[in-house]
Amino acid sequence: MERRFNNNPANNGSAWQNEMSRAEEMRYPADPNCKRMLRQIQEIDFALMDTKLFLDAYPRNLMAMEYFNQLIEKRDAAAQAYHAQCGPLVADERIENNTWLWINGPWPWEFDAN
Amino acid sequence: MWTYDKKLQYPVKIKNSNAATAGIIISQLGGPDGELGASMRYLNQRYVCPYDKITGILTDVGTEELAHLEIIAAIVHQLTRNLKPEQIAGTPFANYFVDHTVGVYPIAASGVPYDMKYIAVKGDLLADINEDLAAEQKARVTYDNILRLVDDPDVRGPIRFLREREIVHYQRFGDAMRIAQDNLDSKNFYAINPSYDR
Repeated sequence: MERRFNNNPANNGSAWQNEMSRAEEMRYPADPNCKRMLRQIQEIDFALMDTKLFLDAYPRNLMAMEYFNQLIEKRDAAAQAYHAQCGPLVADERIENNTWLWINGPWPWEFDAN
Repeated sequence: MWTYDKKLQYPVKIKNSNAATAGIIISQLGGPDGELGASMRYLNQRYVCPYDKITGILTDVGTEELAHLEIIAAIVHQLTRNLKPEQIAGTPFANYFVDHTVGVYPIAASGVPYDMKYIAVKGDLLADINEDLAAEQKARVTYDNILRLVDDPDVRGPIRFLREREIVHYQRFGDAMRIAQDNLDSKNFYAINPSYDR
């Protein structure tokens, strides 16, 4: 079926179209550079998750703690770069350029996001 | 994916145990209009939502409902943590206790365990948002009924907070409905399903 419900001239002047802005044009992880950065964050986060589970059971393991701290540093840097160039990973990040990017797709479960 | 914040969204500090109250409050954990169902409803409806603003509302409300689950569980836990068997015997909570001791198990006040049949994911935007609007009102009514039955101020505080959130969520789903309808025109109202026909 024709996609007549979206961008329909009949909708001209409705509130949502007036709100069209850079926010709605920027579907951020679609940028290949952002995808690469996201993949790196996913890898670091997976290592963090695994180390976290290990530390829950062995909370005095110094080697795991040192590894965890290295990962946290990498993660912070990667997340900061991603936020600056691609948009927020979590909702609670500082808003830049008066633009609420949190709702911009593709969402993580979409084909285009992966 | 999700991360966990090691804090409650609203503090829960209940001095006095009360088996009967716990047996009522637990309905908002595993009952037909409880927080577990709320979070499952919104988070599962997201996947075919065609409009980013509404996807954002479903994601963020669904996530907040997970925090509400934890508040209800904290209330049930604190109401039951010091109960002696003789304070349980003869109360309706005895029927729960025999199967779950004072563990926190998602179940309705009537004794029916949580069931995904309480929620709907129709895969149709208008049907799903109407479901969500009704769900918020039903949860608000349940909190109203809890407030009619419970007079402990330690319990009423967080319950009133949660009741208020139902009202706020209802407002946001009202916005979602407006956004959905603004994307449909007079010809395609009900004729197409924007979650499927594209």
